[in-house]
Amino acid sequence: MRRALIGLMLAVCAGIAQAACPVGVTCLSWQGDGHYTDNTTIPANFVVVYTLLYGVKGGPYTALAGYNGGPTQAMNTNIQTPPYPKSCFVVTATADTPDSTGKLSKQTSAASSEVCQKPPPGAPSHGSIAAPSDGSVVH
Amino acid sequence: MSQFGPNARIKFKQPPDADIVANRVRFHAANTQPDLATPFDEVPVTPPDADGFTYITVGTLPKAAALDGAYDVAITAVDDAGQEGPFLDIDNVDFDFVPPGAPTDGTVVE
Repeated sequence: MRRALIGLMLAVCAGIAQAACPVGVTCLSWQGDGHYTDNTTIPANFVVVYTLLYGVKGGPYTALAGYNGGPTQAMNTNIQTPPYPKSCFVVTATADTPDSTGKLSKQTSAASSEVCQKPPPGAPSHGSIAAPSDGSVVH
Repeated sequence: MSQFGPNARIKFKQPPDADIVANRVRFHAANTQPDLATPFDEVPVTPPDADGFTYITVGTLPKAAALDGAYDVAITAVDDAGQEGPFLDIDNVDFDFVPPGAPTDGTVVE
């Protein structure tokens, strides 16, 4: 899995588009172990909402997982990707300031990161078992 | 049906993808569906022989050490991102890696 995601990082098919990061949130990064992580100190009055979206590049994305983090000082957010991603992922992070009632009403900024993975290889073909002596083929 | 020993070779053609770095070989019960959960041996890709085929000597695969009987051989390709492709399944191959037992009742006679 680690290799797969490292490869995923290397196999970005359309580049990584990143908007401005939310206040107090460093820009987003994919980790080699299959998690999307940031380690950031976030001001206590911010709530960060993470959403993992999945879909085909250029098409609609479907939310796979969401995480509501904070308010907290040290945020370490992990969102596990599916085991065999075949197209693109977008993770969005939105920082909001809760009002006096706790309602999230003041979105300050958002960040997103899009990573696309190349398709897996095809199947081998023309398989048989060959005897070592004469190269004869069974099947 | 011929029986194959450790020197038998798996013969196949790689898929056309340029980023293949390894093949995974699984042995599973004859005439059953291959399963990614089956333990496998991973063999780094080497250039194909002049005939365009890739060969893997069965006896070099640790998972093949005790093969005795009929098995299917499932082969996949793995790319440089660690992604595994679909199976090529070679059906119903009769392996015999187990040497025969000792002769018995031996004496020397004039």
